[in-house]
Amino acid sequence: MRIMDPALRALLLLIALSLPLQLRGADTILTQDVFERVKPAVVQVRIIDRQSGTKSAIGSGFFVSADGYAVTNYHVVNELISQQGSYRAEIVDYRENTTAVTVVHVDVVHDIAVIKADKVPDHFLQFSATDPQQGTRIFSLGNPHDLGMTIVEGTYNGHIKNSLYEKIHFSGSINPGMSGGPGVNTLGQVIGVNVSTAGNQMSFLVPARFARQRLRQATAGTVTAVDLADVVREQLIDNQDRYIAKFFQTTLQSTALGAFQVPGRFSPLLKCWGNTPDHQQELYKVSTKQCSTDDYIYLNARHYTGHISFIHKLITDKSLGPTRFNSAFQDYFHRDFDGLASTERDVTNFQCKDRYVANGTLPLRVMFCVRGYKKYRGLYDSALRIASLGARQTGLLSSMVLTGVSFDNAVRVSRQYLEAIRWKK
Amino acid sequence: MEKVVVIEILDRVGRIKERHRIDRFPVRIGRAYDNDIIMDDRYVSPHHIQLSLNEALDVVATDLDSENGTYHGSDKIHQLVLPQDRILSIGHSMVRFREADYCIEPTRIEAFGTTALLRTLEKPWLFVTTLLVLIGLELSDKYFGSYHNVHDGEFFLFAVYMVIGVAMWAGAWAIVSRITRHQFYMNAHLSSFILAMIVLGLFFSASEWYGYVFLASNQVEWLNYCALVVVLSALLFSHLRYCSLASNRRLSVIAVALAGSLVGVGILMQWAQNNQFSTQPQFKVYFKASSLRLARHLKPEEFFSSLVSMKEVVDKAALQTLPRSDSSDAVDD
Repeated sequence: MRIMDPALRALLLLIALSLPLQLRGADTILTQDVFERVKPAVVQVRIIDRQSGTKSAIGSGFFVSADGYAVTNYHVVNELISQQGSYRAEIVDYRENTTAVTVVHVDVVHDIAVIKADKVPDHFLQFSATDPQQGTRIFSLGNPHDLGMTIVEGTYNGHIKNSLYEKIHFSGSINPGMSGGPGVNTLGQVIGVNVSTAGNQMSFLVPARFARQRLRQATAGTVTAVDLADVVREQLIDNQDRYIAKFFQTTLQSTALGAFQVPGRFSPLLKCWGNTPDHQQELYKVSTKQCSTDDYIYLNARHYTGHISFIHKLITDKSLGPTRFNSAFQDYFHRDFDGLASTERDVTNFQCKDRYVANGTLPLRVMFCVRGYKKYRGLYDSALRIASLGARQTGLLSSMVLTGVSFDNAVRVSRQYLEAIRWKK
Repeated sequence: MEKVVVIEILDRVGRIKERHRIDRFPVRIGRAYDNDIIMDDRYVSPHHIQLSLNEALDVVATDLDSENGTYHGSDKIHQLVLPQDRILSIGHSMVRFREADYCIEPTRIEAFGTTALLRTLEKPWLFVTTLLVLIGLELSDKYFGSYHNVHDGEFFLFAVYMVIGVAMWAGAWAIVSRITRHQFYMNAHLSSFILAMIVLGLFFSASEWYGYVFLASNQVEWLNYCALVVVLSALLFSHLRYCSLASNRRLSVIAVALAGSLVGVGILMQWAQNNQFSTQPQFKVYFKASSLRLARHLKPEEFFSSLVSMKEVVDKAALQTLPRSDSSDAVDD
């Protein structure tokens, strides 16, 4: 075997050694390059309280047209719409120039806002025509915690599964303040808009097409409503019609719980859990099954909407006896509903109606409660609680909460839910 | 000439302080010890007035040049023929006379049962037995109302606290009785309070059953308020009876008014609380271990079609003016 030419060996070694070095170099150069390319189009969005003249919220945004249109999140600018007159907005670009902006269009469901500045931006971003492949490196830009413009590298992991409101799963760290900033590919084209994080490098982007659609409507002048609050209201009403139809088309698929049939995971959009802690010393046992959608629509910092949740509790007597078992049952009936956080500014108090209802041969106590939205007329939250009656050793308590639905939908869905609760065959 | 009269000395507000039977005239009244009637009023002169008889046997009052004078109404008098029952003011007191055949009002007859009932309340066996019944009822209520493991110690302590509470309440009233009527009447105060608690407890349980059987949760609260007014009135009447000598009629008016206003304040406070904003539905319903439900069981479609009326109520509430928004804290989005 011929010994390799020493000169060639030295050259191969050199190439081998420099290979990772070169690659890393290319990496760094790429990120720097993307940052330099995209930076002139990215801005910080500031919401200023008119009374005190100081900022009440910050976020990020990016220019998407030569005539000053930019995109950010609805939740960054929502105060301008929900509390008109109390706030104004401005943007600060990479050269620290401040310009006033107005909100021209929103997509409350997907958390998008289109804003317009009275200036020609140095640079604006293009939307990517295609979705990247899962595993592609992508970048997110923004101004986390007011620390200055930042670029974050991460991985595109496709659209999240079983979500009511479409989102891109971005494995990278989006932090508060980066909301509304762009998620871009290596070419600096917009893939999505930073929106939220679940921590541990689990972040979410709004797919760019929602931003593009609202931008097109804004520039074409099809946003006819004088008041964007009306636009928000219409979008919420359309959205609930859409998702309620998606959820409750047919009879609800049910599952057995003790002596009862109860609504189960009737849609892949529901996430469900269950448990039956059995403590020796307890005098009764509670089995819990609960399902809810993971997604919320942001209306303001204290009010989220657009989600469905329900919970079944099967309470079984171990050694209480009928009277004390009923005390337990009565107490459980009065426990709080989940997912009803909001404020007096947003919703009314609940009104309730409580009746005995016979679903076939199963006697039930049914309480239906409803409250209205003050800013978005025609939207309601409903809370339904159903208790089985007449079973001595065991009782079923089932509750469902619907938020941000029309009155008719609340009633229709509650009825469908109730009718799915019956004796196990 | 014989004429017998009774001279009454009244204090400044008209309460009788002294009565003197007089069959000899003239009668001299004043602070000095040589008078026929000696008065302790420091504004009365040593020899203030004299009452004598004229030929017609009328009583004549004569001022004896007193320093502060003698008044009939607002008129200062020197001498005056005094008809029976007419009042003269001297110093800070009043004087009147009545003839021995003065017509008094007829004897008041005790309302049937009241006295017998009040006497029974004073018996010691009553409060002992009722206290035992009350403790038994409260403990069973506590036991059947809970659904966790309970310990004997807890029950014992509960009973002790209850006895202390009852004793403090009755004791406070007994002290008032001692001050106003010079007797404690402790047994009566104890029995009254314990009986009231028993009646209320039984009524509240019954109204919960009513709420369950007839699906009338909203009425339960009002039934309880009514019972509270009735029982509290009776209780206050009984306590006041042992603290005052006023007539039954007067005491019952006071008791009912007091109970009514106390419960009224309670209702108002509850109402104010119910009207506060809450993110949770506010309700109180009752479940009983019984299949006896006389309220009709609706069909699902009946129930859900009856909900339409709620929309109006909620929409009306949503129209109410929004509270002024307060600026929220700074947030990074």
